[in-house]
Amino acid sequence: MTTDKIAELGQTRDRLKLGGGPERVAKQHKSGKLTARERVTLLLDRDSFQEAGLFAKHNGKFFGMGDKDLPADGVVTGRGRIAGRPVHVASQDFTVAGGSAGEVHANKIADTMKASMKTGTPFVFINDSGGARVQEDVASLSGYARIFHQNVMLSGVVPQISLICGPCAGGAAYSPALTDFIIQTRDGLIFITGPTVIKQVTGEMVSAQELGGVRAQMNKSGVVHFAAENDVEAAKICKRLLAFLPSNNKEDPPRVEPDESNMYEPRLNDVVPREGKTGYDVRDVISLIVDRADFLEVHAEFARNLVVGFGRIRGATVGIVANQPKVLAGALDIDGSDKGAGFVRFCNAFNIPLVTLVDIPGFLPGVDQEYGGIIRHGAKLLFAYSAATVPKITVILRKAYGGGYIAMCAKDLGADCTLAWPSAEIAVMGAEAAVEIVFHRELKEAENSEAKRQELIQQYRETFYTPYVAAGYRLVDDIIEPAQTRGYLAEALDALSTKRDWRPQKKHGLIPL
Amino acid sequence: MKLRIDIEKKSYEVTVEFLEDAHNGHRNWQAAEITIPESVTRQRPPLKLLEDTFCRSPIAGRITAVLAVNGQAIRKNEPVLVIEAMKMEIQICPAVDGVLKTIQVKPGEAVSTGQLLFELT
Repeated sequence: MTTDKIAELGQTRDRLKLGGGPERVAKQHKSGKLTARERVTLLLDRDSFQEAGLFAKHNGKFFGMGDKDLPADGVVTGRGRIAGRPVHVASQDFTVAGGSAGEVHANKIADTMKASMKTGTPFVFINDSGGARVQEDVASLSGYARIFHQNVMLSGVVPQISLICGPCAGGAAYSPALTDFIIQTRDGLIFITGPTVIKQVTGEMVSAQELGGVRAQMNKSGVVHFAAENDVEAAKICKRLLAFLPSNNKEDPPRVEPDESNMYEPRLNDVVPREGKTGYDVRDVISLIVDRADFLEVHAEFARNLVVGFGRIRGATVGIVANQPKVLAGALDIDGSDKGAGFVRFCNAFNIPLVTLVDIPGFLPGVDQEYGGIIRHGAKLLFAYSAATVPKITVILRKAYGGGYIAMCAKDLGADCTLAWPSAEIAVMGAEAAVEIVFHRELKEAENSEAKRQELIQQYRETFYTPYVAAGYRLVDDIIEPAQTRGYLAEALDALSTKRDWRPQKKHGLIPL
Repeated sequence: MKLRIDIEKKSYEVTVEFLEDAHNGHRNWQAAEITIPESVTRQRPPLKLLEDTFCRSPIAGRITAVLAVNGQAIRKNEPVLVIEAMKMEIQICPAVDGVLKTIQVKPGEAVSTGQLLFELT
């Protein structure tokens, strides 16, 4: 008996695991995509996957659904391990009813998320779906709403990562939008309304790739955080990202083999050009500060004027926020502020210390910026830094003028330790503007106002374009040789790792939105 | 992952693969074994965005230098022209490799945000 029943089980499992059948699987492969199960196998450690709901049956009553057999109702859900650490995953199966989400499909995902919450383990959602299953009507919609609700319940409790490996259109896009990081492949498409509807309603013509492809949704809208060539690369990025993060908000980020090398790094002395006007790539600085030059940049192609990402110092994860002088002169604009604020909030939620590298001439001027609400958006970054209770260390590399200086985690926003390089220029504003304001009368009355202006500008620069004035005010704790930065940060982060910061109880603060 | 590495002024394009994440506390796990169809990992042409071909100014400023000429082959992330804004020199580079079709501006010219700077074929 037992052998028969076991054999039967094996056959049923094999059949169900084929999803929509060999032909649809072949079609999936041909289009450059892996199947839902292959993605899960690739992502998780070998033999660690425990699936729940393989035998689930859909609930559809209308449109002849009653006759249809949809294996696992089009989604693979369960628990497994990534690099030995438990996680929960949901992977939509495009070969079954186009991966469309019916009621049971959505419930499987929502329940997996609840399990993630209960166990304090990260949740990874692989999207590849035609959207809500029309045949199940409002029940499908309600199912998606349940998923979104769970995304919000899990938000800030466990890391949530979305992979967009296929279509993710319409309402479905809101699940990734509510998660912490989105990784999209070139076959992934995410948008709220597609090209056809847009053309019907507004007359605008745009291709699906231009609208919802990975480059559009990273470079232009900033919705997507990581671009992957294909499913294989997406899985790698996901694993690499998770390796930096704790499993939940009660844990500290994982510590790995510390790298004790190059604590004194002479190359840092040469990065900032002597010429004040010349840009440089701040990632050159970052790679010399983090262990093994291993820096995972987040949102690389969005708001390139600010660089954010994860690295490790002496084996412990740090979140890095840095102005990028070679893009927009390193100025902060709407997109940069949003990018920075989002990253700071994530680090704060998951106990990841923040290291901020400053070289900013100010906020980007312009009517577009003002009408676009730079006031609201810039304020997000200020809020995020002030509200953050993780260790915050700021290093001023070169320019730090005015509002930009404050927004990049100035001492008064609660930075635990602020350092400056000798090249730092910490001033209330740029010399030209300051001279115009302070010496307005003198310039008007001067014989040769242009020469006088240049003379005053030069004087201003000599007095204020240094870190010493700020250090005199104790706005900077110490001025260090650039080469000492990595070693200094390693020690400071160790000391600050036990930081406790009490805040008054409130339901929640109101970050400008 | 594709990287462009510059060694002593020569540029090399290399592909780097993380074979395993070496930096984890948990030792007793193994990566999955799975055959990946070639159709998934095959090389495909880079995805295009309209703005790749039409490079617009990200900032209002003044052109201080034009470093290429019409018809010249140009490389991604190598500067084509320099704008001075906010007292800084900002290099403007194309987002993709290509051939410069027309440069729309000349040195000394003031440009506004969004103004077309150059076109690639």
